[in-house]
Amino acid sequence: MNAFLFLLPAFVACVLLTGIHTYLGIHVVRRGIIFVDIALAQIAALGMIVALGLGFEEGSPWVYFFGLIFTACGSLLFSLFRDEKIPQESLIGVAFAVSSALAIVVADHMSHGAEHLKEILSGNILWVTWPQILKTTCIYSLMGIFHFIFRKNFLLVSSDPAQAQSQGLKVWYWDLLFYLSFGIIITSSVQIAGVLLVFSFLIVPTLCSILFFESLKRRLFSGWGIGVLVSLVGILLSLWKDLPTGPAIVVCFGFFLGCCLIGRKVLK
Amino acid sequence: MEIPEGKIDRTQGDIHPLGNPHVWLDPRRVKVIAQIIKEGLVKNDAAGQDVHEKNLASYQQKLDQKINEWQTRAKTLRSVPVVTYHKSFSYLSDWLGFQVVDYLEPKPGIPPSPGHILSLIDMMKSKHVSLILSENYYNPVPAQELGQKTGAKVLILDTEGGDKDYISVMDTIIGKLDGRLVP
Repeated sequence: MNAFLFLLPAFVACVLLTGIHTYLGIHVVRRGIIFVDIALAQIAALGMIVALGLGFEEGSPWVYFFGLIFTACGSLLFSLFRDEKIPQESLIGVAFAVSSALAIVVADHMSHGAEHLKEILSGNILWVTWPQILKTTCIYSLMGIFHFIFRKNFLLVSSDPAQAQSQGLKVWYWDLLFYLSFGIIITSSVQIAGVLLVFSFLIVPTLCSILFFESLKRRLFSGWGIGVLVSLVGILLSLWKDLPTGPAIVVCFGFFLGCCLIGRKVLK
Repeated sequence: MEIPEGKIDRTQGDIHPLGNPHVWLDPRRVKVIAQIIKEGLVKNDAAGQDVHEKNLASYQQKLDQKINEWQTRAKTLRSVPVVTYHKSFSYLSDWLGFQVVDYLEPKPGIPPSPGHILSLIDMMKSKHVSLILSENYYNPVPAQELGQKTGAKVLILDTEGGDKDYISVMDTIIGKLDGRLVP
């Protein structure tokens, strides 16, 4: 079979993932909640494992639905308990640890729980299908439009919550909307690409663009370029060197960030 | 079967150093297992020896009958080329005589590379492989996609059956294999 046709869905999925996650990455870095995606993804994974443990078949809509419900609960938790005294990131870390532990406890009661845990971690971008891509495009577009309409509020609450408060915005309400939309996106993303790859798409293009650009627009566009280019290199590398595709892309992202850091040092 | 020889390490994925553990998919070997279980029971419960002997005899007789029935029903599978998800159908193929020509995920637990899948698709087309077997605890998507790309029929088998007894687990498996050519 033609390698180009076989790898095209995986590449299109990478372009989609780059599109939404680079934007979200800018928010996440501003808020200083780097690991929120891993925590919410793990909470979604916990929901899916619970659904499988209840006897729903792998791949059924109920599994996705359980993931969403759990993610919504996580979002509520993060937005309600934004406290000055403790860093938000610490709550996120605890949520990650506890939901991972719970997932292991639940998986312990299933005959093949370990397979599910591993699958959610490493994902399977090679097997993404066109209907799946279409479904994901719809979800991302809806969320993207929602964020575009309310972009001023979202950006203000992310970068300066005190200022937002004084302007009369309900911070916890916008936080909840942010985490909810984030959770809906992450639940779809993780099903396609797995936790590790989604995390890379979220953070690495944003970090690289922050190193070299100041304005939001430039950061966004350069982040998109970086995400698409690096994932293409990763896919080609996995084909050329016969490597598992998802992990190969993650390694490429790491390598590219390293190059950017060195480049920045040299330029200074 | 398939007890690894030579050096064993993680580069081969999640392998079993004591050999392929999916032994129950060959019911002829389950007869031997039942015998060994009986010996264990008698060792710990000498007073109940008669009961255990009788239970074994009736179970083995029932198995013999079933083995005959299953073999007749799955006769059409003999020497049919098959691709499986993992190396977990070796005992089933040894018993029923179909040929496992390749695996979707050759190293257990490590996702396959695009190169492997591409050559797998080409091989399946040139050798006219018409059947893909996987278990219900793996993600069904890779097997289904491979089936769609090659025109091969995909069967997702429940090889462990949860709380069902052994004979009904095997009944279901043979039923699916038997009906594989019916659209």
